[in-house]
Amino acid sequence: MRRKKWWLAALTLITVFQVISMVQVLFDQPAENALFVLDGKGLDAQSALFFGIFILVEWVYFIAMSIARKHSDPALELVAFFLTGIGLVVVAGANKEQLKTQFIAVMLGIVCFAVMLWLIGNVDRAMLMRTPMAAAAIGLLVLTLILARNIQGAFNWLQIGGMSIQPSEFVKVAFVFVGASTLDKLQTTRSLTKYIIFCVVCVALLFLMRDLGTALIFFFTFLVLAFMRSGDFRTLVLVCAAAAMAAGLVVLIRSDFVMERFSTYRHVWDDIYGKGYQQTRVLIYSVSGGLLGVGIGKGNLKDVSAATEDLVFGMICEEWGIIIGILVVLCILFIAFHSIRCAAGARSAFYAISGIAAGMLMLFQAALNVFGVTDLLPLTGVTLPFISRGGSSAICCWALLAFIKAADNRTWIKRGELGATQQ
Amino acid sequence: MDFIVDAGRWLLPVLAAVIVVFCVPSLLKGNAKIGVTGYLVNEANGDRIPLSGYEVSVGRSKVCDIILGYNTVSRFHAVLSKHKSGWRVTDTGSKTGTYINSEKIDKPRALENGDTLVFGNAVFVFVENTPIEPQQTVEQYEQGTEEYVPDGPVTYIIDESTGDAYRIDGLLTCMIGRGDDVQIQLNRPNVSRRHAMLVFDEGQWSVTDMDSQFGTMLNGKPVRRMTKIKDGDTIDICGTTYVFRTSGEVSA
Amino acid sequence: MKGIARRSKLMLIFTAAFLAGVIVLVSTFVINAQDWAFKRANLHIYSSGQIVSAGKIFDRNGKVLAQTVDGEREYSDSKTVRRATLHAVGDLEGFIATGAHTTFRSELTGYSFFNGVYDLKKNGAGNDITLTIDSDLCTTALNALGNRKGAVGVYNYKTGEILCMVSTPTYDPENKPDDIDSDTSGKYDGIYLNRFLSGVFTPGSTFKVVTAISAIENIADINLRTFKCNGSYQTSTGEVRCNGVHGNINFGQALSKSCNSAFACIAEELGNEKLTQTAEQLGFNQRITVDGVKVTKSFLDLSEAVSVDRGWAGIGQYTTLANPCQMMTVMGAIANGGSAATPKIIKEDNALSSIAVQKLEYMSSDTANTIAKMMRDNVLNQYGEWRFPELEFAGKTGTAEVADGDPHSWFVGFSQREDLPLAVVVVVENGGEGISAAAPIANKVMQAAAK
Repeated sequence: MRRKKWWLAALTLITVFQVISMVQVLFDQPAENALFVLDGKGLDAQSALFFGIFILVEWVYFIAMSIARKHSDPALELVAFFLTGIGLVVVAGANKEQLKTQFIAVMLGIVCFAVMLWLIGNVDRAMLMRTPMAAAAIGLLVLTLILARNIQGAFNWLQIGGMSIQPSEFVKVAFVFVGASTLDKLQTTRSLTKYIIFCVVCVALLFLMRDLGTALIFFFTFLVLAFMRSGDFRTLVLVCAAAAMAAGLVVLIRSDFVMERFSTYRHVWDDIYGKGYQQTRVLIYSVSGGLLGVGIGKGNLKDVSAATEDLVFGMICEEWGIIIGILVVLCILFIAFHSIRCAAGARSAFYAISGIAAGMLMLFQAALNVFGVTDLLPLTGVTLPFISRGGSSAICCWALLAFIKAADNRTWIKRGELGATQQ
Repeated sequence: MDFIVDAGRWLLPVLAAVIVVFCVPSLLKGNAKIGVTGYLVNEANGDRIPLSGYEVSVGRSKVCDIILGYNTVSRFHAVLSKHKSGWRVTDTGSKTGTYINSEKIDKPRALENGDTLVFGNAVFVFVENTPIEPQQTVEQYEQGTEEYVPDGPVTYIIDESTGDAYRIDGLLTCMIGRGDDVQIQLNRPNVSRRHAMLVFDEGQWSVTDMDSQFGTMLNGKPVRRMTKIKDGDTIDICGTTYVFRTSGEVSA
Repeated sequence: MKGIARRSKLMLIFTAAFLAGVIVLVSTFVINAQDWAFKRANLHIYSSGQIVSAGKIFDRNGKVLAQTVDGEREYSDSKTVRRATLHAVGDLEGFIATGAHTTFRSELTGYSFFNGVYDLKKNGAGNDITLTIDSDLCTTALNALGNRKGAVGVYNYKTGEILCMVSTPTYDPENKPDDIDSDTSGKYDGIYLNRFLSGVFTPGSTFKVVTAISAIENIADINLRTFKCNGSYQTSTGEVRCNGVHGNINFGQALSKSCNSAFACIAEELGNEKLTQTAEQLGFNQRITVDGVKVTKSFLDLSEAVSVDRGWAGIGQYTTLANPCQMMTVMGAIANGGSAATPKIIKEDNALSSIAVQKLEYMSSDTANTIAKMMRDNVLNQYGEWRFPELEFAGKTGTAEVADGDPHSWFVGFSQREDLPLAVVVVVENGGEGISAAAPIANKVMQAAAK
């Protein structure tokens, strides 16, 4: 038994949290011509509008779900909105010009969440979509490799119109989609061969793009998916051995490329103005923020390159305090934990497998990011789910969230999808 | 502005912690418990194999949910899956095939209550976990006038107000709620579709609340987790009181 | 689904690993916070590698020793004061590890793991601190030391406050010599070292005080003994030479004439174990701290000493090394009836601090009174009261032979005046005779302190 509208209290608290944090970054314009003035600083009306719409969308989503009697357990979306809100404010605190793109991406992400949920709502339909998804994913990666521009040593960006997108993020969703399957399909075709080929192609293409971080995430997710599908340790050990050999081969051929990344690992303080620059700044400014932070938008880490993307954990620790930094990381842990808890009672093996894969993908990515910038793991340059700036990343995270939401059978019980056994 | 920053740096961590505390229990709890929604009754010995969850695999392999140790059954023979419309069976490339009412299936087929299912040599009757018809009034039960004396224990759930007695022995789960996939229907305001569930496990009946909006009371106290019940316990659901009666000691 | 449910449980390993990672992360933050926050790259605190935003540092009389003006760190107006207090105040780059700028940076910048640099950013400065040192006294000590390398320390043995802490060579932090790192003549040797806190020197005859205390505590009839000095003391493994031929002398005379033969004999009788025990009781081989600043340990190791080594050790040679601050504390304990106040450098003006003085129990009050009287007799009978007028002074000189150059010149002592509860230590590297080099400096500083 739970209080009927506990989510209302939680949502109110989240809104209060967001308003307090947003106000801190909104007043930075010249006082002239500003709508509101506080302490001699004018309100940034455009950013205020974006934040306003975001909070509105939040409320509309939950109220609509409540009225439609559809949302059985809003905790997952509450946490996602909470994290996304922090991400938006972090971006605004560092660079207002980037807020617009991020805001649009978040909105698209929420739409994506709803669309994905509908798309996989029917298992038979979802199963039919797997082959086209796999083809589209490989096609997108190949296209990227042909057209991509070199950004920071990686060829993983695609320029479409005025927007640059990172296709590997979208392929993550397809990867999970293709990997999941219903129990009867799993029993009919027990071989992993076709799926392994798909994965090898994906990871190889990412290697060619020099996107080592994403390649690692894909490999990890593949292991999770393959294990969930077959429970077959022998195959996985073989796959791991093959991967280790391939990695060894890459190191032999291109030792400079890989070793460069690992040479500073656990030695960041030896080269604080060179290769250890980002990690040492994250550590220095994280502890400078203390438990409570120095105030949003008042940090020094935001001037370091990729601050709102790879180093965003350090920015939160510095500006919002280590307490919130740790809570944010724990939120992602709880999301992943939730996906595991849901698996046993999921409506189909498809939901169980895809939910766990999505949860583990997020967890692994968060681990690479947070422990990477703090030098507990080698730095690989991946984003922190829901928080980091990056349109493709935001959309991907919300789309992945749909898999976890679908794994929770409460989502469907109240939607009536499970229906009755007796008419 | 300074005040907002000053206050904010204390308020934000506190709020964040409270928000996490609000949401985490729900995340940690995971999905809802699902009762048994059907049984496969073995023709040969009358064993009732419960169908719980949404996908059930049948085969000779140890990893299957229902393991059938017949040579004629393939290692991975078939999968039963529960859909909006009910249970469905899919043959997963078995050597001997799967038959419904003596008809070999080549694509997924919906199951009807009472269908005969054949996997190799194993023959089952599919029985849906249907609502229980009230059998006797409480007076009759207490007077001991029932004609049929079973060899096992007799277990009833008795609606105090109407005197309806629902016999639940032999079941593994018994759902109470307003929905139409429950065993004991209770059409009253505020009752959730699936409100409470009785579970028979290791020779002992327990009751659990299904995250209902208004909760379930056992002997006047709210049910927070799976709680064991004994003869004479009362279960209160939105003003309707059920008495749990069971005859003699139950052995598993 | 049974298989999938079972496999999903295995995924809990990853969540557990992640949680472990988070715990490790938090603990590395907690453990390294102070270290990381004060890295030079932290622009909240440093600019061009120099600490900029920090509170003021005062001396005990309220004179500003360092402060931040318009984002620039400034020292005292007087060049001599800047030079005299350099090692107490510390430099901005952190080369002087025991300076207040480094050791009290948390207080100065207001940084804490809980609050971060928030107060520093908000107020532009952290907390002010007041040191117990008297900048005038330090100036006197610096002038008395002149160009010689060495250390002078004076402290109040009742309250523990260090009034004077000077180490030479030193430099003017506002005009740092350009050749400080490139010089090879040795004039800047150990310039960043605070010799008072972090230096260790062969103690020479000042160690005879320690040997004497050990004798008083372990040899019941020591006052009735006579020692015969014919210029050296023979042991089974060699001889210990004396600075003269003293003939038949008693215990008190042995200390005042600093007779090596007598003390080698006493050391021989005491043995390695008892001598080491007394020395450790007096702070040798023990870690002492001054308001959290670690003082380098004084060192005595007799574990492999044969009798001739023991004889040399008893007169402060062999491998024995003494730290000036620790020797000063021993003087304080003798003057204060056996227990000395722990030295401290931060001045606290509250009632609690004067009541709750931390004490180091070094010896019994009987022992303290006996050795105090002997040291007072040193001045009266040997050094001459004229050297320390009106101070009611007690002390012991030391002339420590070193491998290269003239001996180190030592003086340790204390005033017995009720209104002047001060103990003093002076070390002059390669200064020659203790009585001629170190003792006059001690007198000058004590006279200035007495005013």
